[in-house]
Amino acid sequence: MRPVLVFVISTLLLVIQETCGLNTVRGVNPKQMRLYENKEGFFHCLNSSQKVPYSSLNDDFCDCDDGTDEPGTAACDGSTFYCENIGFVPMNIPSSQVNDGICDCCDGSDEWLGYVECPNRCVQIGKRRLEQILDEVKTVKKGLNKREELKNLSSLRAAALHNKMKFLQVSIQEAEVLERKTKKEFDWLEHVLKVIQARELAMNVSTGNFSSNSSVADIITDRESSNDTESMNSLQIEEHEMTPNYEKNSDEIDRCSWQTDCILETCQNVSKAYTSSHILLRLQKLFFDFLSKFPVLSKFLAGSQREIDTEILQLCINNLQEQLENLRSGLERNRTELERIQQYFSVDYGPESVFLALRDTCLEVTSQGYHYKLCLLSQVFQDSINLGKFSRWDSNHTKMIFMDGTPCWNGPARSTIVNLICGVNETILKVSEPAKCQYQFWVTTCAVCSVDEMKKLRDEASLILSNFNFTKEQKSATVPKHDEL
Amino acid sequence: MLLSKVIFVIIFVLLYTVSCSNGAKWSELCKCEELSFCRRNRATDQAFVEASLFYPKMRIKEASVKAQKVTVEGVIGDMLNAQLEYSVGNISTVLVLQIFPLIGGSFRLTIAEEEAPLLRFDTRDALNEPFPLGHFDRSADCEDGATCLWNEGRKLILKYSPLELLLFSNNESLYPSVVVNHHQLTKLEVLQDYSSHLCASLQVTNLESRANSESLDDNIRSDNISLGKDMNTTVDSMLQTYCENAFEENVHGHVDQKKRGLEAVAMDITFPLGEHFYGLAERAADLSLSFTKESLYGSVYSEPYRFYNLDVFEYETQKPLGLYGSIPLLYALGEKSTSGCLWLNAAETFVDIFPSNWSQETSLSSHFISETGLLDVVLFPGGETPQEVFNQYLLVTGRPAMTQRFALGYHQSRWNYRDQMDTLTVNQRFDQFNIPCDVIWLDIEHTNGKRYFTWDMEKFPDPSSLLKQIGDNGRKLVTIVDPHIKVDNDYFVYREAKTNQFFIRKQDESEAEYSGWCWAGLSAYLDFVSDKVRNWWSKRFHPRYYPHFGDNLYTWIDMNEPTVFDGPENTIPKSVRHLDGWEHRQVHNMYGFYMHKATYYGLLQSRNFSDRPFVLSRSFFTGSHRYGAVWTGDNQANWEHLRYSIPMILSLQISGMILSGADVGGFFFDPDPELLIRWYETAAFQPFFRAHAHEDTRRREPWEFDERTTMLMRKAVLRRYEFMPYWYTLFAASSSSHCEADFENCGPPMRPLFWEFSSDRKTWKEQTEWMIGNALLVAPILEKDSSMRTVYLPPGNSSHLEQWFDLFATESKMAGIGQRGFTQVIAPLGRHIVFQRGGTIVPFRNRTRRSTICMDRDPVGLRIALDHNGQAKGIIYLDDGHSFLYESGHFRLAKYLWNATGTLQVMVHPLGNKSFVGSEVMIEKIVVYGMKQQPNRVYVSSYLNHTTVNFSFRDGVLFINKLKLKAAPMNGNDKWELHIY
Repeated sequence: MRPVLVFVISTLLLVIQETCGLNTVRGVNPKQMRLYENKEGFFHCLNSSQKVPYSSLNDDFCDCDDGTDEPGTAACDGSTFYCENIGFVPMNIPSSQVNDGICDCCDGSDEWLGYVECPNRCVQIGKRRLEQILDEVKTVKKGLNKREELKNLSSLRAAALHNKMKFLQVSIQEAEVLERKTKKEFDWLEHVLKVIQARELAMNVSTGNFSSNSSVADIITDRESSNDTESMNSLQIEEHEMTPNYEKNSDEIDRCSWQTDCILETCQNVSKAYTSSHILLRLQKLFFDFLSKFPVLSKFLAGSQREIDTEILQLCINNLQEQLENLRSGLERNRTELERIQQYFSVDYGPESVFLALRDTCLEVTSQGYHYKLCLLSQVFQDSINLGKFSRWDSNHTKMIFMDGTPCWNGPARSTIVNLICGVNETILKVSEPAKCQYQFWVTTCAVCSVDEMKKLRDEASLILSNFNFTKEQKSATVPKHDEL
Repeated sequence: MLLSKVIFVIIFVLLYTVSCSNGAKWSELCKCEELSFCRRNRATDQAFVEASLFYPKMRIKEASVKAQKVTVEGVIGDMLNAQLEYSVGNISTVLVLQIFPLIGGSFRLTIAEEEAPLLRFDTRDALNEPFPLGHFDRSADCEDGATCLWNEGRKLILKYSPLELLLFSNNESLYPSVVVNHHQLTKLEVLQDYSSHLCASLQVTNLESRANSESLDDNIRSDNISLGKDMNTTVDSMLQTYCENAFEENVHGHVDQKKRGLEAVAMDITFPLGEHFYGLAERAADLSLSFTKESLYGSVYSEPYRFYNLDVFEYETQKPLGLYGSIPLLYALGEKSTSGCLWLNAAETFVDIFPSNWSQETSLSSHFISETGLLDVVLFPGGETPQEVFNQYLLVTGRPAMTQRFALGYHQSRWNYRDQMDTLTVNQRFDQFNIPCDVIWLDIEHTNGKRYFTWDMEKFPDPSSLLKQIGDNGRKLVTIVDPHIKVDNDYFVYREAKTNQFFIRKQDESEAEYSGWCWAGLSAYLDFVSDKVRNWWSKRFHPRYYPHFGDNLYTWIDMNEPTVFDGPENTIPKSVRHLDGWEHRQVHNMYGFYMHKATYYGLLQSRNFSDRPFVLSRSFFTGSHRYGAVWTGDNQANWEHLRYSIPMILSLQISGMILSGADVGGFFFDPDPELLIRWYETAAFQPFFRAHAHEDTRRREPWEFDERTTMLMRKAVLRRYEFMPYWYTLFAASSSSHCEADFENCGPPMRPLFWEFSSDRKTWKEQTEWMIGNALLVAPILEKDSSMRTVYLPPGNSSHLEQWFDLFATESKMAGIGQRGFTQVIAPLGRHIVFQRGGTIVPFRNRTRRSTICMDRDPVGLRIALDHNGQAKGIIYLDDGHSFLYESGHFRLAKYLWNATGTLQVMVHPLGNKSFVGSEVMIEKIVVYGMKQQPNRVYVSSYLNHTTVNFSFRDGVLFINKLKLKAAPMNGNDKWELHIY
């Protein structure tokens, strides 16, 4: 740049500045002119109590220690230069970019010494930006609608899961009670069997008869007393509850008269229908009552009596065991399911839990020879290599952070940051590995579309529109209608 | 880590584990004892008989001494020629000794066979162009059995028998500065034909008794007879020792075939006035060199210093092993005298350092041992200060290339910025955080599969636009190019080089190229030793051959030791052949030098000789400073490596490699913010300021941590740019061939303390602080969790008391004046410890800009520090920063003089009178330190009038602000003087 030319230009600019009114200070937002007023011959530095002669303002020498007295020159590290950017948005740039030979403001006002020619590109940029905003607004709009759907979907899913959880909790509770009862029943029967077997043993030794009931009762009593009183209490309650059923079954047994098949069947029914372990005590009594009621049978069974009652008992036990196992495996299944659902609820699904519906949604993309699979809030894969498991969110729910992937050779475990951008559909835009084994994904989703974003875009658009310094015809000709936004 | 790379890494690991066993770590690198040439020649306690039989003393044939005119590389000058009688075993031969007077008063001494079946490699390419040959002032027989030679007033006495050379730095001195062969360790293993080789017979008989070969038996018999029957057994064993591994040597699992047989050379050089040695770059060792023999008091090492350019993996500090480059320049410093020597040999070399005696005075000796090459050494008579040796050294090896100014800015590098968007984001972030940055670097991953001169078009779809966008922000881009060329017939560089047979060849006589593993996979290695190949290579740097080679693209050459992952000690085997007939062992240490040279000319030619090349190389040799920058290679992110960056760079500085630096932050591993900030604070005051990091590390650009860290890193970067006018002036001075006359102060830009204060013994071992030019003393914090350190401020002497001014003092008033001697300075993060020396004037700029080019027109300031007489002087040099137009007057050189009466005058170099961007910059601010009292009035007198100017006076410092004085006023109207009363 020829110095003479520079001089002319700068003088011209000075003249222009002066004629334009004494109230403007180069590089200052007109709205903030108040701060730059001449206060009894001084300029008050913005961020300190220091004051300097007013002539120091924009005199191309840094006077304020906080560097605020040179908005229009590059003399201070700390000032900002305001570009009006008619046609686009006003902007603040660091004053260090003023007259550095690089056009920063679209109106070129930062290069006011003319070291380089900076044509005014604001209208062009503004127009392009408005078009862009229009597109973006459309996207955000669609995204917001989609987000509503997603939100509903999420709450439906959440509700369904809640219901399922409740249901599971209840059925687990019930099954637990049932399991406990069955277990007791089973224990009693086994005990009875042992008693009978012990009696048999004793009978074999002493040719005794059935009058030794009391000894069995003693054993049972012993057993009962060894149990804690609480279970005894519960048993008593159960006994009370189960009484009608018992009656019914004893009736059945009565009805059966003396057919062993019938007895067996009854036994099975008993074990199926009765959940009280107390029934066993009764069953045992019943058994002996049963036998004592039919002396003929008793006689008839004299030889085979022992075989029969143990056999039936054994059948009952087996049956109960099977039932118990079924109960337990069912319980286990339900518990796992419950845990899974509970785990679902332990994850942060963002504002309004909108991400719930996206949980386990997997996106795939092939980039630079690798196949990437991203399961939102779950895991990330590069081919078969795990790039991380979901660990946490950033503070405003726009980044998913995945940690603890497959460890790198001689390095850390792989990790991934997924950056979410407002969009209509869930798509992976880009995958990169800025540092080894640390991946970044850029993904569009409607879940992060927000009214704020919409508002920001609208504000920007109205800012651009309000910053147009045109006649109305030009305005309507060059600018998309505000209504469209 | 991408999958294909995983596979590659696996291959690499396999290869590496193979090569690690004989490369990489210190414990796995070759020691002198493991290499027969060093073992043979290092032994100084050989029996007399053995020594005389195989290592006879050198004696000059009296009648053969003759001074004559000679032409070396087109330069006419003088030479002294003499013959030496020399017999090894039964082989009697004649050696030729030549002494060349070199410009600047130095002498070059060479010894080689008069006639030999094979050639010895001459490293004259390392010396300046044109060849610095001089003339003898006179030569005469000065005493019995001796000839005296004078070169620019320096006397050299050549004693005949035994051979001894004594070099005097001036006529008055009683003691010589340099003495050659005082310890009689000068040896040359005579090259012989294989058929009649002294060791050939032994070799065969050793390998396998071949009784049917009568002629061989005859040979042995005749040897024995000629040596005398009585000594048969002794001689046999001596011969055995001498010939051990003469033709084949197994070094850490790699077999080295040595067709040329024995050919080592060795010489001892004593410095009678020397008390400390410096130089012998490059290694991660202390600045002041240690003795190298275990038995000696004060020895840190039991190994000699080694020169063998290697890619040493995760190198350790405080080891005498050689790293990526070799500058076998030695300074011998004494209180009142410094001298030196330059060992001109491109082969593997070991150097022992030991105390010696010369007329009962303690002195220092060195013992150089090279595997092959000429006996070739330049002796520097030196003078009172190290500067004299430096001047003589630069006269012989040439001035450093005039730097691009942007190269002195901040460089942001990483292995690797992933893609175009990533790179542009980094570029944009610097503006966002308002941090200046001049250059962004792209490592190997930007290429298409490590095919250099190409771009990975998926990651970098539009390199031209990338370059433009970076250029639009006032910045440059540097891309990497390595010497290993991927073996791939679809790769145009490989194909063309193969067609032309430009690759280093296998050791056998076939024409087949040698190939080894490197980043590109299986690769062939270009033969840069051949000028045909260099010319071809230079043409690659053109958009025609290197797509998108734009105006703001510069070059980085790496892996040019050269690195071969599956080679012995991670490099190419010594036995491979070069196009001009050399065996690699003869040229190894100059491979990187030649590549640097070819690349330098490539950039020069591609831009029509109008733009100064910028080429960063990892490998180098003496003379590489004529072609550009180097860095200290793959260091580590720890405090020890931060500390050792200082002696490493200082050694390079005094060896002429002035554009040098260490990877800021450390290449391997992750630095924590504290280390990173301290490293930035340190490197901001070291010449080449580039942040770089390994692929496995986390991102560490200034914005990757918290806000405070960003602020502190930014602050350090801003300090670099603040002193940019001073740095650039210092670099211009070092590169100027009229330095002494125009700049007065011509040392390396970054100097050891002893450079400026060589008579102050306390400075001799100092390597935690340094000088920038003669004016600034820098002492960074180099310890973790520390915010205080001891700084040594040389006190001067009674006739000249030094004054020191703490430029960034934050503490109490008067803190600006430094306490002479050892003093404690408190420096939390963000406080730079920089003292300005009384008597100096330092130009600065303190406007924040994006890059150096954006600062062109900004006004400057002067910091004036008064000495005890109230005087000061300094210089500013200005030019366009990138072209060669300064050679035709487009520069400004202004000298400022502040005299004791309080007048500041400016004198401008009359030849620098043509304009350029920034030639009219103003001085806006003057700060004066060391004023005794507040002045009453300050005014500027110019051609027409006197103008009173405002000033302020705080804490003994005078601030004169808002000046509008031409920094370098050319015409009468602009001339000014500043007065204070």
